[in-house]
Amino acid sequence: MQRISRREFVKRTAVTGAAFTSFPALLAACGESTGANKVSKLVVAAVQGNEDGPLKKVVGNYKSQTGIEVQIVEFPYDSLFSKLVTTFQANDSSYDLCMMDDPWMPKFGTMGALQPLDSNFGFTRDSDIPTVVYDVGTWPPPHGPVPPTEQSKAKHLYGITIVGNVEMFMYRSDKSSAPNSWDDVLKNAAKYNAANFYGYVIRGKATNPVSSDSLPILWSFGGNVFDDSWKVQLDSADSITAVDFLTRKLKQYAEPGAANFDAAERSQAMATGKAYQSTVWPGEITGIVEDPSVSQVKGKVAYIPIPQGPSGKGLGMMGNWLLGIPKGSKNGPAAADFIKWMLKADNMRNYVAQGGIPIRKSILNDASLAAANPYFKALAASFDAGPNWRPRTDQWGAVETSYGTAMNAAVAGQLTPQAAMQQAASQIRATMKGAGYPS
Amino acid sequence: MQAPTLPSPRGGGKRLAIALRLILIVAGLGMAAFLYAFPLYWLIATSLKSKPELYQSITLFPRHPTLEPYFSVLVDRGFWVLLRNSVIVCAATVLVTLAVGLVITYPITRLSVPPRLRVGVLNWALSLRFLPPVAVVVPYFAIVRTLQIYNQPIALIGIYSLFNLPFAIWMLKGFLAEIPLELEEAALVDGANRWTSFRRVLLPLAAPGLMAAATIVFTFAWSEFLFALILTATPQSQTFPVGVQGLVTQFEIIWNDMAASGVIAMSVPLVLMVVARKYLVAGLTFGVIREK
Repeated sequence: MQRISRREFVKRTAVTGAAFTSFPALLAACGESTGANKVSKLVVAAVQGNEDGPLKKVVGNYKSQTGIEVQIVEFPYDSLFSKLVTTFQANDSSYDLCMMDDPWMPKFGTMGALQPLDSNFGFTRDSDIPTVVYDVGTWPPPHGPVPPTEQSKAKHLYGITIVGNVEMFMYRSDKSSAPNSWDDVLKNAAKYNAANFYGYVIRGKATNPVSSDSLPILWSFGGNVFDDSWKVQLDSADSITAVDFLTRKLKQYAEPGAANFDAAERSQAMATGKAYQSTVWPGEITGIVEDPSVSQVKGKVAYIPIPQGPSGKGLGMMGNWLLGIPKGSKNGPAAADFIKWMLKADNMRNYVAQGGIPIRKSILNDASLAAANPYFKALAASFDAGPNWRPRTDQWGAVETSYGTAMNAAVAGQLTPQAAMQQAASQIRATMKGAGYPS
Repeated sequence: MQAPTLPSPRGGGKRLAIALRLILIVAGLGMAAFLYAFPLYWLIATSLKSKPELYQSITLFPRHPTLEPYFSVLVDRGFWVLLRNSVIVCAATVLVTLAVGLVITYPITRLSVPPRLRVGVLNWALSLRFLPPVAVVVPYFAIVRTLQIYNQPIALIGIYSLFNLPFAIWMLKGFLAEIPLELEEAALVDGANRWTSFRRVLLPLAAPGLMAAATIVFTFAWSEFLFALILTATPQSQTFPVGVQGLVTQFEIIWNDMAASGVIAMSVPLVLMVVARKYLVAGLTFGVIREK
């Protein structure tokens, strides 16, 4: 065997190593040059469940019309967020489009992770789509407090809603008329509560679930997470009254183990005829409560906007799912064309036929569609009422964890409403102060 | 006529104690078997229920057994692609791990290397095993991005091989050390070179150990989740466990599909275990008596 010198060994090793590590890059580069001319596939990172089910059913039509395949890659809610964050940090091009829950927009907007749809791809506002739908996809937010670091940025549209989620209220219409206020909700809960039949269902699981469940009540009672100058309001008298209403008064008539109930358990309880009323997301309605294959109460449940609280208002909460185009995507124009295709009225009607939750007013107010989708009227009214969105800060994840953990402890009876809100307020003040907010 | 002998009170008490002990042992084993087997039974029973049945009262047996959840998982959700990826990644991991493991263990067991080097190599291998995966997931992510192999099966193969290498090294070391050096020396005397003696003499004798190591490495890689979740983005490279976690949705837990996925995920290593069980027993007990 031929002997080689140490210098030669090092040289050969370096060349081999360089060739090995650059091989994938060369392959990727080859892929780019062939893929730039014609897009044959778009990859969408989506949330698995009732939110992306209808999307999966309509993308076949897009392929037959344009020849472009749309691949839906599904993740559970929490995994999708972390996957998108890592993908954006790496400026990776794996996804051409991503589904985003609207409270994620501040994080992604602050990161500069998305391509502007208005300036890059010519998106303009359509009068048939509620203003709030565009507002929620705009960063920095067009109204309400703006994070200190974002105040000098120009506003752009980064996401378009494809799932028109607004939190509403459901009740058994075969037993009573609609509640007008939270006082009515409490009275009905007391009246209809019985053995194995819950007067009210609390979605009390820690963090996001209980946060989503309680914020409409908090707002309707005049409470809030922040005021317009980012001062924490959770330990205000109105906020504590709201939390007391949910975790003490309504809880008397709620299901056992409410602190562990999530949306899946709530919609199952409602669909199997074990519950009288609760808040609800449209995704639960289409997927479970109004699904004739599993529901025992189809036709017996009605949907209304969030009832009024002592503040005189009933404030629903936005939970829209948006489509955005990651900065790393190499197929931006094709991805934008797909979003435009989804927004077309005819395609949205087909989307609705597959169980999709629309955003167009003309579809939500269409009498024939409303007959088949009993929540459309309430959803249209909720959009018109201008639902609240969760505070537009990139710190929302940490804020929600503090608030949702304390709320869960209150639902479980481990903390009094006052102690829970003081604990949450204290943690959130520290978080916001650390992030440079004037809390 | 002989009077009948009565059992002595002492002997009767002893038999009673034995019977009691037997009953306790059987009851204990029965309880253990129930605790072990019932979740498996429940998994299989749930995988045979339709979605409407899941929304009715809970039953021990499926009322109308159906294979629909399996079809839903493999075809509708496209998990067959993830299953294929899992098989490819795990098989490649086994090949790489065993090849590298042999390259490391052969010299330290068959050649005269300084004891300090041998101990050092083995300790190094062991230290890899003690490394919590979560501690290195971020650096690995950065490396994989730099090498531009993010969302490619080769990233998983490399990392799985690295994490399973210590196990393979320690297992193969036990096996190779048990094979007499004289057999190889005889082959060398007969004119074989080192490679030929390795290939024709050592490998056939080490085959049971390799099978055992391969089975265990495959099983470990099969159930890995953290790296698969972080280092993949699309079904092009995602493995089966990544797909399964997606069945917990925000508004619904798809129990029957999840159970069907569980049965499928369990089946592959289970079949492998059954096929290779005699090698596994040998592999796990080899070298426990005598340390060379």
